[in-house]
Amino acid sequence: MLEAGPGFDPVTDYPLDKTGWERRGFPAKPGSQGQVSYGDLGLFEAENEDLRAWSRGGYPWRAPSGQPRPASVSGYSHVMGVGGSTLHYVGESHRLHPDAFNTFSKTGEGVDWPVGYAALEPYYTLVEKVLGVAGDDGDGARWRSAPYPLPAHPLSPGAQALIAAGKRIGQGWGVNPRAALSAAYDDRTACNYCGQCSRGCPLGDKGSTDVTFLRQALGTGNLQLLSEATVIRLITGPNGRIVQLELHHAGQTHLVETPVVVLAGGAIQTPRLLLLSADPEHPDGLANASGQVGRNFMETLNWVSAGLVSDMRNSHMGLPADAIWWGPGIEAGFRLNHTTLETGLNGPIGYGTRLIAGFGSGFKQAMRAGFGQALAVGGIGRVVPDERSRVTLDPELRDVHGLALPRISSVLTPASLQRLRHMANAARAVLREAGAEIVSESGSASEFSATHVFGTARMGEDPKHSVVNAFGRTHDHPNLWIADASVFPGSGDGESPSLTIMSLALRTADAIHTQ
Amino acid sequence: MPDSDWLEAAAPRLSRRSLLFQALSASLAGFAVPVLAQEGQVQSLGSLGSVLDTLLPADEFSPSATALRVDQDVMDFVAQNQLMLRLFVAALGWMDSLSDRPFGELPAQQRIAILSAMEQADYNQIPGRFFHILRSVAIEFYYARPEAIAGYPLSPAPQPAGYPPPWS
Ligand SMILES: Cc1cc2nc3c(=O)[nH]c(=O)nc-3n(C[C@H](O)[C@H](O)[C@H](O)COP(=O)(O)OP(=O)(O)OC[C@H]3O[C@@H](n4cnc5c(N)ncnc54)[C@H](O)[C@@H]3O)c2cc1C
Ligand code: SF4
Repeated sequence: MLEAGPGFDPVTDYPLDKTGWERRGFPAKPGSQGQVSYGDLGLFEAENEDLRAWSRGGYPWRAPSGQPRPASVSGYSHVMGVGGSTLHYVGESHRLHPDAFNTFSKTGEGVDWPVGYAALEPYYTLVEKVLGVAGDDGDGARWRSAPYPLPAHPLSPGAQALIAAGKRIGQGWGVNPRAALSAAYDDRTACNYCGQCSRGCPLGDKGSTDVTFLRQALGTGNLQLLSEATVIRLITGPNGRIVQLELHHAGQTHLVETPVVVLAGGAIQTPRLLLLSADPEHPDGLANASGQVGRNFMETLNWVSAGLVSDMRNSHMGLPADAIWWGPGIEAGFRLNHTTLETGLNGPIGYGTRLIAGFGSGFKQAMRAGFGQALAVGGIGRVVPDERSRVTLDPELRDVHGLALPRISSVLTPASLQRLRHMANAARAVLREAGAEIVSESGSASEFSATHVFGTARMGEDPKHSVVNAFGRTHDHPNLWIADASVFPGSGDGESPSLTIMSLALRTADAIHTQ
Repeated sequence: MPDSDWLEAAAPRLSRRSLLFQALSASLAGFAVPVLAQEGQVQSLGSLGSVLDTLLPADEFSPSATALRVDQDVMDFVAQNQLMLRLFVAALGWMDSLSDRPFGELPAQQRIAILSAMEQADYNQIPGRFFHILRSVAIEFYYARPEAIAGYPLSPAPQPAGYPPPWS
């Protein structure tokens, strides 16, 4: 396995036992932050003023409407490292709703997947076992062939408030399945509810791939893993087969021969590498006879509303993202979750720079009195890509290897913006029912900010309109497979994607083995 | 998970501040930077300490900003960026010129009134922009210190103990 980024050691690299922790995000190491550039991100239109980011305790600056939508500071948020973005993911572990594989048939939006829930179910079960997912078995339409490996976590004060408020207004909130250990499991210790999953879990109980799949694979002695090794080109031979990889490692360029290539660089770097590998036989890039490589890019349609609830206590305690409402149905195409901790309202700096305004002794008193009263609801919804949404090669900007940066263009369609409004209003409703005064909001309308990205090498039966088949094999190259979020034909209805990425990858592994 | 800007923690948050006031750079160009405040080695910035202690004074639970050396943290931060340095020099100079005495020698009520006016001022002008940038930088450095969270239901750091239940 060749990984461009460095390895991270949970014990030494995630210093959550040191003061000043709130000033530190997930640690940056040389080579752990990929560069991207941005093309067309659409406009922030005046008609979407009600979806503008604002906060009572933050800067009074307002993005002007009618102007291009900027990328947020984090923009495309990801980690390059052994374990990829699961190193800083929260660990929501979602199966796609069975209907989400048939979005076009059910709603007329997007496309249908060439694979369905029943085919993926055994892989979902296996991935949950490897990660150690904790959940509660009443998942409704997401039927299961086996119970969750671990019982659900106790509900945090914020989750309890949302479940109670949701019940009163017809939102059926419940336990969110989480890749965090509710009991010791697989030689890993149980979660102690420090609330910091996105800063990197120092206990190693969060189910990131470094401490689960990769640890187990390395334990077999069959995996050779080389970190800080960036693949810069795939080289083709007869019959379109990939015969060699060109890579940079330790200041040198190497050529490596290979019988099979599984590309898993994520939905930005995978199309980039395919486009960078263009050769005279494949002038538009590899696996791109359909012209679909880099197209159909889907960003994260997201919303966060946060407020203060005067009778709430200790909302900074518990497991992040522990409660979910799966939303009003497939037409609506979104879900809400409890996001107080994951959105950073778990320390005083978050409160002082977002929730509580003012200065002086009154401010210090308000901070002390208000701390533990934050309550935030996040939403993620289905995105259908606009014609302009795609990853291309930047015509000018280059990385340290002299290679063109990936350039992200992403434009939200009117339907996506309407969905965002529906999400925002549902989030506001449950917060108000829980007694919150809303003091901070942010979302995709006024800023591009993406944690879940998909679609740039999509799967499908028809080689004219897709890049890989239902098992992840590229239509154009018999020994080139793709196993990451770029193969998703649709974004799902707001489900977090990692469980599906991993399940599809195991299915791909089986297909390679069978072949 | 959706919103992740907070995750970018200190460095990008601080760089966003730089971006936010770049629009002001033209109006800052005329401000000479004194010897004690050259980029890379700021040793003194006029009334910075008094401004910080008006923003974050001592009370019965926790010390003032300067008692926790937030002034030094802010100067180190400002020293990294020429535009930021110019903004601070311009704004602090302006604050000292508002009366016949420097800001730090004014009675508390007057200092509070000045900061309140700056808080409400146009964000695209130096006083308003300086207030909000300084407030947020100061909060970040101040509340990163364990002494500042006395009276909070928080440990100095989330690990090694975590926050096991019960939570009510
Ligand atoms: C803050 C945050 C929170 C999240 N929370 C959740 C959550 O709770 N649940 C969930 O399911 N998902 C979550 N996600 C999303 C999830 O992390 C990603 O969807 C997932 O990790 C994507 O997997 P991937 O394999 O497609 O790509 P990645 O995770 O990006 O992995 C790609 C890997 O390939 C490497 N690579 C790229 N190019 C090359 C090259 N040329 N040569 C060698 N190596 C290369 C990269 O360094 C990287 O390590 C979150 C994401 C973020 C940012
Ligand atoms: S809350 Fe639990 S899973 Fe998350 S970082 Fe802390 S110990 Fe790890």
